[in-house]
Order: sequence, then C-alpha cells, then structure tokens
Amino acid sequence: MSVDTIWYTRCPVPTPLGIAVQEGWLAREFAADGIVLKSLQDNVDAEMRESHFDHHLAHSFRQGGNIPAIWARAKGRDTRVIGLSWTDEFQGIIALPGSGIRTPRDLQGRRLGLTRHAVSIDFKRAAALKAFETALAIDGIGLAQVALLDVKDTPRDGGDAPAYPNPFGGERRHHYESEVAALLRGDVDAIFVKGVLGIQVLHMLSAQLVIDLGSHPDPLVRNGNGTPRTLTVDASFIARRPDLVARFLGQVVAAGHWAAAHPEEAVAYIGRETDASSEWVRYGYGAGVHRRLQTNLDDSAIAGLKSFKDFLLRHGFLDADFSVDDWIDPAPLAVLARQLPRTGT
Amino acid sequence: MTDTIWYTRCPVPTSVGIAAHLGWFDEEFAPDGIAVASLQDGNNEAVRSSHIDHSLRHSFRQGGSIPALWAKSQGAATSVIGLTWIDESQLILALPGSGIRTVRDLRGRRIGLPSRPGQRIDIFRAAALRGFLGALSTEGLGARDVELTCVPAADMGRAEVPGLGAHFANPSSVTSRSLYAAEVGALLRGEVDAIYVKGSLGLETAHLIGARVVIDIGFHPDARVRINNGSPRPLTVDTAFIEARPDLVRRFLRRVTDVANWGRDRPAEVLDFLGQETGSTHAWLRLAYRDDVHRRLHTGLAPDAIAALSHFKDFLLEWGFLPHDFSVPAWIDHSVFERLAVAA
Repeated sequence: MSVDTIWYTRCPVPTPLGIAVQEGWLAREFAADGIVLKSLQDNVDAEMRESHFDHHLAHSFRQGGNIPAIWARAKGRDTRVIGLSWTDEFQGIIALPGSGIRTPRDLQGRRLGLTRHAVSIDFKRAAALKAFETALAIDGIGLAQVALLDVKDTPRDGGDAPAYPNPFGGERRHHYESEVAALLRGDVDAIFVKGVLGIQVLHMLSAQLVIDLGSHPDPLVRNGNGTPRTLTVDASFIARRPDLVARFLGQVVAAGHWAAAHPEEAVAYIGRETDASSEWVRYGYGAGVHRRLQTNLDDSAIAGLKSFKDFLLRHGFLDADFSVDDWIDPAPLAVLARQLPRTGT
Repeated sequence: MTDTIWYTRCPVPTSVGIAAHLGWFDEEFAPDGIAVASLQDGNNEAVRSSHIDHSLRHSFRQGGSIPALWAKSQGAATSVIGLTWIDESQLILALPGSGIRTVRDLRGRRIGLPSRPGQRIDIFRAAALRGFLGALSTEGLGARDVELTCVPAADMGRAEVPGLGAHFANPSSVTSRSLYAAEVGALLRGEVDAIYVKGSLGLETAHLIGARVVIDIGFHPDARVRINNGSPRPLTVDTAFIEARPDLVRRFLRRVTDVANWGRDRPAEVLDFLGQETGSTHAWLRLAYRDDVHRRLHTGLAPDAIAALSHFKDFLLEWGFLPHDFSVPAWIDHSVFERLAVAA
C-alpha cells in the first residue's frame, strides 16, 4: 500500500515524539520514501484537528495524555498502543492561603473545582477528578464527602474580551485561567493544576500546596492523564505497513535515549514545548526529567493505563469498557528489539 | 581590612545580576582574597534586610529606586555611583466586563494599591500609586479622579520554599512570582476595578487571569509618565567604602559597566540570565523588555537619569513615603566613574 503522508500529533508537554520532530529525525527517516510528515497542530482544519482527540485520521500517530486515547478506543476507534512513556510531573491540589486547607483531610466538606469544557472529551475535568479522588483516598475520604463544583470554561469573546499581549501569536488563553479565577473569586476552595504551568500557578498565587501527587512514591497515586502517556496509531496502518510503524516508533524510542544523553538540550526542548525556562522545567518535572522520556511497554506503565481506564469507566467518561491488554500491540516494539539499537542521528 | 564584598539586586534585569551570573565579581576579587557574597544567599535576616535599608558595610545594591531613596532619606550613608534605565512594560489591568477600556474609564473607579503595613517602606504601594498616576496623567486625570483602595498584601507571598536553591540559581526569581497575588485576588473578587503590574511577571499575570490591558505606560514617550521604581535603577554603595577603598569600588563598578558591552552581541545569553533573574522565558522577556534589551544594559550617570531620580524622590516625599527630603544630585558620587574613565 502506498503511503504519501504520515500524520502525527502530540500534546504541549514533554514527549519523545516532540523531540524526534524537533530534531528533524522523523522527516529525515521518511524522506527517502517520498513520505511527508505532517502535524495536526499545523494549519489544519478543525475537523482534522479533532483527530488529536478521536484519532479518526488514517496513518496517524499520537503521543500524549492517555484520556483522549482511552476515550477514542472506548468509542470503538480501532487504534493500538505501541508504546508508553511515563514522565512524572508536579500534580498539585492547591488552595488559597487562609482557607484553612493544608492537607487532603482538610478538603472534607469543601468545594473542589472541576472545569467543564465544551469539548468532545473533557480531559481536564477527568484529570482533576482523578487527582481529587486519589488525594482524598490517601486519607480514607470519598468523593461523596466533598462538593464537586462545576467551573465553566467558556472563552469570553466579543467587545469585552481579554486583551493582553502574549508571545504565542493569536489568542492563547492560560491553561488554568478558569480554575484560577474560580479559586480567587472564592467560588471553589481547591483546584488541580499540573506540570510546570501548574507549579508556576502555585507560586504566582502564593497558594497553599495541599498535596503534590506527582511526588508520591506509589505510581498508582502518580497515575494521571500524563502518567503514562500513550503512543497510539491506527491498527490498519500496523496491519498494512508494519515496517513504517516500526521505523516511526524507532525514532521515538531513539529520542528517549538521546534525551538521556543530552540533558541540557532535552530540558531546553521541554521548555519550548511548555513555555518554561530550563530551571522551571527541572523544578516541575524533576532534575532527572531527561531520563524520563523513554518509550516502552513496562509493566508498571501498563498497570497505570489499566487503572486509569477503570477510573474513567467508573465515572462515566467512557461509552464502553474494553480490554487494555488487547489494545496494546507489542509487535512494533518487538521488531525494534530485534534490530540493532538505533541512534536516531 | 575588607574580607567580604556584598551585593544585592532585585529579581529584574540588572547588570549586577548578569555580572554575578558570569562570575565576574568572584574573578575580580579572588586575587585579593576577598569573597563576594549575595545578600540573597545569606541566612542572616539582618544581612538580607540590608537589601532594603542598606545597613551593611562594603555592600552594593542595584535595584528598585524606592528602597534606595528611602534608605538615604532615613539617614543611610550611601552614594549612587551609577544608574541603569531599562524600560519595561508597566500595565494597568482591568477585567473584561468591567467596562474599563481606556484610561478615561478609570475615572471614579477603585484603584487597587497593595498595602504591607509591617514594612518600613511599602515599595509596591508606592510603585502602584506612581504607575496609576502616570497612566492617569496621560488623560489629564489625577488621584482625585479615582478612588484609591487598599489591598492588604502583608500575608501574601515570599514564603520560604525548601529546596528551591537546588533548582534555581536565584531562588528570588521563584518567590517573587507571588508579587501580585493579593492584587489579582482583589481584582477577581471585585474589590477593586484596576491594578498595576509590571515587567515580564506583569505580562504573565495578565495572561493568567485573562485581563484587559488598559494601558502600558512602560515605553511612553514622555519619561515622566514611566519614571518609577525600576526606571531608572540606582547602583548604590555605602559611602564609607568609597572613602576607605575607592580602588575596590572602582573595580566593582568596572565589572558592572562592562556588562553593557558584553551583552551587546549576546541577545540569547542576556535573555538566559534575565530568565534566571525573573523566572520568565525568552518570549515573555522580549515582550516585557523589548527585543533590544541586550543593548540597554548601560550603567552610567546620565543627567536625564539623575533628573528622573530626583523627580521620583519628590513624588515619594509628596506622598509621605520618605521621612526626610534630601538632594539627589548631592547623593550622586561622580568620582568613581571619573576614576573609571581615567583608568580606561
């Protein structure tokens, strides 16, 4: 089967796929085949961009948060997970100083903010709910013992829209604008923020850190939308061109090895993806973040994926249950293991 | 006998901060067996408080003019040996839906001024007041046209966070991120209608809360509109140090002034250092300090900068921030710069 375009998409978070793109490896890998690499983030229409969530596009790879990937699979989309990456990050529940909330126990009876977005899969809402449930469970508290409050996330528009210069070009709201506003207004008592952006919010609000789930020793406590991240591809692509899929995966895996060997460059790359300086990247993702960009199918990552799928199902985010084991296709990774290690360069 | 030279700077773009990151002070004074230490690294509260009151001997400070002017006014024996003027964004923010779109719309509205009653000099209250008056002046308005509203900020921010030193060359770049936390809270709760923020942190604050920038006076053509705590910034030193060891003071100043030439051809490296000082990325820094900030690191004693400092002193005195009046021109010590020229 002839393939002229391979699509890829990734979240604005640390991903090995992002590194392989930025280093130009993917484009080079497929140039000789006359195959063009195209990003869903670049100048595509809304219908196509939606594939970042529902993965409807053929010949497309996605590395990013597991919630949209799990949701698309539960809807019946015929995708396969060919790799998992687990880059731990700050995962903070924060409250305002003076609120009296210092530990997860203090959340009992308080109002926890859950954003509600007009999107196909409300991944931010699910991620926050998972964090609240997990944090409360540490102290034996259930979600029934708190008030979950909707925080509407509707961009303001028209004549009275926000107006500020920003370096991103065009309009790009702060990822946590709605949560922060709800917290400061006193509509809710605690919110969930994560990653380097989340820890910046913590400091800009001088907020009280109730718990950082991201630093907990138990990986199932650290289990979130980004831990693990899934590398998915449409199953038909594997069936028809396993060679291309293995080569793509090879470059993503190589990016993880490259990052481990090039700490400064890897951290600078994450900074560009997340709009953070290198110091903040290490603060938000850990000093060893350059070693945490491996793509594999480790048992612990698979366990995390299963746990997260169960969570989403339990809370009604999914249309149907499915088997995570059947969803994972270890064949492309096995092909790589049989080959000589690739350097990616 | 001098065994330690102290320096301190604000978490903003300064030549002293860049020279420190480059290791120039250590390099300069190591042959003399003199240690060069930052007040920010000190564990001693009295040492750190010298950032405000300049009580420490053998100490240099480059930063906001308000504490320097206040320290001089209340009797600290300091001298200004240089001035830098790195203009930066200075924003008046309101919320969408407030009906405030232009400076004229501020008439009759509640202007948020942070208040830290426990502090000897309420730096950020003075800076916010000045910023608002500068903005209002562009439409012929003044303090009587608005309602000055107090925003309690004493309890906010600057909390010690353990372990920051492991990740950050300048931990102040992190703790200072909460500078506008109180104002932002008051704005969102509807307790005030507008707040003043500045620099890259100010722009990031506007982004965080989805604010409307009513005006950015930071690059206004009329300098009197933008003169404030950071424009210009004085480099001060205890006068006794100049008298006792003019050679050491001159060598320190030389390293500070050299930063201007060093930075001229190194835009990316300058932004790297400014990022370590402010906690902001290059993109925000370029927006807040403009693309040519690496060419504006000059430290000198330009007459217009001295006049601006004098003008600002008058403002602080008029509004009761300074205990006593004094002459700014008499505060300036030209001798160190003159010797620098001779030595060069």
